[in-house]
Amino acid sequence: MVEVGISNVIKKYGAVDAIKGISASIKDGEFVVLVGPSGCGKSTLLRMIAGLEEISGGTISIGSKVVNDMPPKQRNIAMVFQNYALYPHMTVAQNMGFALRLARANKAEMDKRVREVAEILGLTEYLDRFPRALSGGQRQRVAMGRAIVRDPAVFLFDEPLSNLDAKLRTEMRTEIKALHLRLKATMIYVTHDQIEAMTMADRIIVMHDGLVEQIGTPLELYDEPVNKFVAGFLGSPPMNFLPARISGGKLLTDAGSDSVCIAEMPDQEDRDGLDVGIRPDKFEIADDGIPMRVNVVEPTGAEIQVVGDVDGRNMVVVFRDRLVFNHGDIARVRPVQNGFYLFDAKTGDRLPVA
Amino acid sequence: MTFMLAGPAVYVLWLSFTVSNFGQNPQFVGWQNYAAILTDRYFWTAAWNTFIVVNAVVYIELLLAVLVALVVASLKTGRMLMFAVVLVPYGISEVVGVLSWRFLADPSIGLITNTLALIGIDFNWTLNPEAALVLITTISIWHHLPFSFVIIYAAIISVPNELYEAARVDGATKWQEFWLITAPIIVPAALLAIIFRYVFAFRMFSEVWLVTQGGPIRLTEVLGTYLYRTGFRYSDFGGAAATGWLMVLGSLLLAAIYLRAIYRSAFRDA
Ligand SMILES: Nc1ncnc2c1ncn2[C@@H]1O[C@H](COP(=O)(O)OP(=O)(O)OP(=O)(O)O)[C@@H](O)[C@H]1O
Ligand SMILES: [Mg+2]
Repeated sequence: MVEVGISNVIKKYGAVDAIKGISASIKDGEFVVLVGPSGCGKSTLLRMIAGLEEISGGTISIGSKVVNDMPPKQRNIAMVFQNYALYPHMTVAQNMGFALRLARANKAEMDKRVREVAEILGLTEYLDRFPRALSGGQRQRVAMGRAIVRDPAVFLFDEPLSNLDAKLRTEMRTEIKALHLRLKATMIYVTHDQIEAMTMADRIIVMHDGLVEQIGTPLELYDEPVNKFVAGFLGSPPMNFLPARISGGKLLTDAGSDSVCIAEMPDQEDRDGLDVGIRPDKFEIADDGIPMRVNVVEPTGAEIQVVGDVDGRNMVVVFRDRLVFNHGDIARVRPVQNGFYLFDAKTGDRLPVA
Repeated sequence: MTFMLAGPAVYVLWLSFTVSNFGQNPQFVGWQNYAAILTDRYFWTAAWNTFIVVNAVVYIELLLAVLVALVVASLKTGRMLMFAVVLVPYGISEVVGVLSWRFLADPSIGLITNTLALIGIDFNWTLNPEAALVLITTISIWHHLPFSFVIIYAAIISVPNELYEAARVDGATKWQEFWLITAPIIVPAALLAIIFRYVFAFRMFSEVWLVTQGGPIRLTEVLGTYLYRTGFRYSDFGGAAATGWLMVLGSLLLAAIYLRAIYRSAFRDA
């Protein structure tokens, strides 16, 4: 059984605090995605788990062992790097077998193992090639093959798909997921692409600025974000935010000189300093709705995406119906029943709506 | 352009088949100069010395360049400073460099000689040809180390750090990281450095001329000084030209061997 335990982990680079105290526990066989904007410390955390970066505080354990002072090779992990890090002077087979060679594995067994894995990844015909003679997608596969050959307890991926084109990325996403089902190993996957996070993860850890914002399954995070950051980070196009207040049992937002009622909230006390968050697909047309000026209309066939603004604040609204909008129109929209979230504008914390 | 490059070479080739002295028109003599050189005992001493010194210079220098480059590349701070320090000998004129070494190794008052004497080594290169060749080799390495260093250093720092990280995760020790990752990747650069240094070292002249002038009794002569002596001391231009051509052939042969090795190591695609 190999869980990965992260407990109050801190990383300092000189005066810079890259990781400011993170705790999370990853279950055996789980596929966990670390997601967050650039610079939030995802790679740093992953590299600390790998043993490539020293831990400034807290503990990391793999299985039942605390690994803080253990070199990478004793941690029973394999890592797939963003730029693949294939050894340029070795063939595909040599790259994949490198760890076994270092472990002084029996030559015949090593060849057999490399062939098996190459078979799984469709690399058999490339085994004698050098990395420079492979396409990006093939290199990516070799990098994964090199990890799989070792049969590690934990796989670590650092943005492994970010150098691939969109189509290949989607394919590899599925493939990595299938691989996870097949190998049943614990996998920790770093990405800044929230779609990758949503589609691949058993659980997502959303990071921001060296801290964890929220941990949960993709749908938990999507449906019940604990704060404005998580709400705005997951979902594409992202959630719309408008400043709002509650007054006289109504949730109001200002548009130009008017106050527009977004929803009735009869049980709530008056208060200012709110942000209302509405997902793009949770709008309906309403004569007394929020006046949004239409800037761009993008039909995708299945739906139309309307990009506009309210007092200069960008909004994106997605309709399933084939409504007709023109540039410069004012579309009046409001959230559907229970189709919005409330946040404290200062702290970003989510507030109960009921 | 071609003429500028090839003109003098062709002229020298023609000269090598003639006998000429100052104020005399060259007379065609066929292979006579070559025959004379190849049967000259001093030519063979010079060739042998060149062979020993050049090989010592090239390989010791390469080894040092790799060591120094590894050290400089592993520095966390002050890399640029160390880099500049290592380059210094290249900026010093050959004559000044050699004279400084001669002074340091002066048989009676030199710092090096005295230090060696303390540990019981008699390093009198004015009398002992082997010691002289060691001194010459040392000076040549000292002077050209920056050249090899720069080539090797550039190759070492071009190895992406991710490769070492991948190797560490794969279970490599520091030693294995060097032998299985760094070394194979810098082989083409090392071969390039070797070619250039072979060709330069083959023409070695000032180190020897300024230290021993080939003495005592022409025992420390190298091909460069042999050529100079033949041409300018004995005014045998035909012989000097023939020596020059033999040296060119020697260099070309060496370069060809190493170029082939580079070509293989850099383009061995499946
Ligand atoms: N060697 C270092 N020295 C100083 N600061 C560093 C170092 N490595 C990373 N940092 C800082 O630590 C923070 C986290 O970096 P990290 O690479 O983990 O971000 P990331 O979440 O992986 O971002 P990205 O999505 O761009 O890869 C950043 O602010 C970065 O500037
Ligand atoms: Mg990163």
